[in-house]
Amino acid sequence: MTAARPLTYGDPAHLAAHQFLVEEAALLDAADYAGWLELLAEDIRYVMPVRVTTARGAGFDTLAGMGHFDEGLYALRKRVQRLATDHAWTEDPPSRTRHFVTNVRTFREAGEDLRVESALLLFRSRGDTREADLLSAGRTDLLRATADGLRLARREITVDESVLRTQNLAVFLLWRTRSGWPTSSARSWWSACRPATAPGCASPCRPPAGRSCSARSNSRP
Amino acid sequence: MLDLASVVSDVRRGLIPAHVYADPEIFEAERDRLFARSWVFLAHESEIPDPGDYVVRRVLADSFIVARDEAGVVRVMFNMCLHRGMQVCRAELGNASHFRCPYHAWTYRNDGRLTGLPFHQEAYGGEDGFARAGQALLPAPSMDTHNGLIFISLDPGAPALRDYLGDFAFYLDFYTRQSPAGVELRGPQRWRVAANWKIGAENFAGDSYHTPHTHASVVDIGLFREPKASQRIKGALYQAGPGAGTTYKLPPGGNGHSGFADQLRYVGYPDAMIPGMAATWSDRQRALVADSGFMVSAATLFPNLSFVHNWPQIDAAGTVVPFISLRQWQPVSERETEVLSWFAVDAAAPEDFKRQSYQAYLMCFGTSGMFEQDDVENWVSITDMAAGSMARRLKLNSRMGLTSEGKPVKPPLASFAGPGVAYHGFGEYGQRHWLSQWSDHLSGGAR
Repeated sequence: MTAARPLTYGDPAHLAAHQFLVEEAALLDAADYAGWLELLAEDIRYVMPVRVTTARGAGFDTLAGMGHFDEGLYALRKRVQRLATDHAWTEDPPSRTRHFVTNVRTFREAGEDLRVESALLLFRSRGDTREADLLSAGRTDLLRATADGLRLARREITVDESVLRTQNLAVFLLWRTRSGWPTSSARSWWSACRPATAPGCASPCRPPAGRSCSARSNSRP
Repeated sequence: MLDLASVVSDVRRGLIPAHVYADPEIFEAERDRLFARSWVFLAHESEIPDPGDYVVRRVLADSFIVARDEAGVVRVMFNMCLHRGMQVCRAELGNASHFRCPYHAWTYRNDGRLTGLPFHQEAYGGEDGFARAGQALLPAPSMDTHNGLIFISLDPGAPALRDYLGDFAFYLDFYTRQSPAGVELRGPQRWRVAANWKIGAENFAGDSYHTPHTHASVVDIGLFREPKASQRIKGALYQAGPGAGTTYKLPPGGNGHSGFADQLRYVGYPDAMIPGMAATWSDRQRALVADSGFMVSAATLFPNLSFVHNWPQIDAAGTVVPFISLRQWQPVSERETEVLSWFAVDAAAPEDFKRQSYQAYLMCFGTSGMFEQDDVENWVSITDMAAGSMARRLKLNSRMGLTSEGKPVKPPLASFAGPGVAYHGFGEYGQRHWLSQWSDHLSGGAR
């Protein structure tokens, strides 16, 4: 079923697949998660196995029955929803991240579907004192042709470390987290929250929409 | 120069000198006085089900092969060749009848015995020059198992594991013995965080107070209905033997066995699993669930093995499914910890349940878990702040639940069916219980 050789770089299907990955990254770099979710097929499977160090002859290099991710649309939506709350401390203040997508190879699958392999390098910097993290991974995606264009139906991420050197996978291997304040209302309540009231400031600083302010009020506006 | 006696004295009063979370001298003392003698978890028997199966695990810098030998016996061997000290097995897991050192090909059976020694006769003059017979990879000084959990101690004179576990064994069953088949572990996910190892261990021992705020986002998105402050404060905190943990108070169920089943159904266990728990747990264990109405959540077994049991909603229809995770805070340095996080499930559970419970685990804990993400952010930040000079002037207040005279603010729970001591509401009882054992070790001699 799978073609043995990748499509040539000039093949319109390859160009469309490559563009899909780049446009997807651009959406995510703009923190447009709602837009990103629309690129996913309803039955998406998003998996990232745990890699392990094994003998060359062992015949496997991932753990059976355990991944870093093994998600459908519900779980992915929940993760996006969580990052959009005011209490996702691990990404507030947000990491500075950049996803480098390269080595794109496209294979024709059944019908109009495309299998796309790519290499990903994630740079992630948090705060001002910690060393930055680098995460290298390969990805194999299944892109499904629909009337609305290509949709991501399956993504398998092959991370290149067995012990991850990053504090968590709050930043997915395909998106960056928001880099600015999500809404103008967030900015206005934050501005009203003086540093003097920061410690345990939930009540004195309670913002209009019931937000609390632990993370943001620690910075001077 | 570290004044260990003064540090320990402060810690025993519930005032923690902040630098202990980033101090190389403290870390050295922990290595020499605590990890040199305490029982430490390495693996679960379900990770090595067949003869020849092995995993390689560490206690701080010491690498051990945990193998099931050809006779089915679990062996724990120091992973260093007797000849020149090469790491004999450099894979994380696999199946092997023998381990051959890459340097000079000294070869060991999977029970540790040295069997292959190239040119034994020509180079060594045979048994006369080097007695191969009786040579084996160094065994762990002490090794024992409980509910399939494999522990070692670097102290050859360690007490029997069951004696060490004491009253905590009662609570351990909720996580690792839900049926006669026992539990199976999958994983671990492994990752390194720039945090001191003690912070996670203390947190799981009794910090129900952090849940409503640290994990507010999880409530916001409707993933887990329980951790609201109004709900969390109703739980009981227990300390028993070398362990301590948190519980949630469940809504009242029916009486007797029907109450027991109601509580398990409430947290999402299918009816097919309830007889297993009913048959395996003692009257007293069942009473904790049915009569006291408490369901275990987080716990820590001193020093660095923690447990969690939560019951999130795994789909848009609101299906509630419980999961169990075991996690180890493996110290790398005073400022770095490798976290090992396993998914655990009753081996006899229906396959559907195993699949759903695994989904629940991934959403909540481990490298990508939505609870764990925010926990680790806190722990990294504490470690970072603890490394400077000012942290040496700050004693962190860990006295919640104690009056200024050191008496409990409220009496222990009278109606708590489990062993040990339990308190209702918020309080740092479990953390102080953990720190008290830490203090005992650090004020003892080095090994």
